Amino acid sequence: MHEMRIRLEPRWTKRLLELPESGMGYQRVDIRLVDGRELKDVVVFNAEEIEVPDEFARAQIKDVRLHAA
Amino acid sequence: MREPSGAAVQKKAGPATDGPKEKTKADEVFKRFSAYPNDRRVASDGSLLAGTYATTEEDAKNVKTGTDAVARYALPNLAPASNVFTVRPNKDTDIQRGIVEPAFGQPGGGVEVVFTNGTQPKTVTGPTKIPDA
Repeated sequence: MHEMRIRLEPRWTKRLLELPESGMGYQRVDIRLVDGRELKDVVVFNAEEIEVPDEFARAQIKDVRLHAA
Repeated sequence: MREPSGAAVQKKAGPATDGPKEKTKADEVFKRFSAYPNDRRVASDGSLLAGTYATTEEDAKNVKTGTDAVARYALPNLAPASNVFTVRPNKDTDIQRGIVEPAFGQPGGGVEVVFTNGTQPKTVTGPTKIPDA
């Protein structure tokens, strides 16, 4: 499965910067998409970049929350 | 601490979020390794945002390259964390300490410190650059 790195919209970066990190320089998050699909335990780098499978590269994000360990 | 049998109890290593709540000492220094020179957790006023991770100055002495940092702090981003920020928080800043667990195919083992409420303005300088590998 190929993954690609995409940049989050500024509103999600702003949200993530209000939340704690999961480790130095990253957060583990769950992402809900507009089409109802969900990506669980995705890593966000620097509150602005995520790696997702190719098929999600153009997906619209509805919500981002910290992943509950 | 000792068990009822008298045997010494080894304190179990674990992540910072499981560590006791502490306060920084006067003149204590911390380091933060990042793949990004424009680290978003460093605010424009030179503070760290709440919930930001770093390591102790002592532990950072084990890290000579950005690739060392990826391994020691079990970072998921394989890009070398070659940008080093120095953090000098005020005395009595809230922190928790722990040991980085293996993750993302990396061994971990470094000291991690989380600034639960961030740090004060003008407490972060840098970054300085260390070699990538």
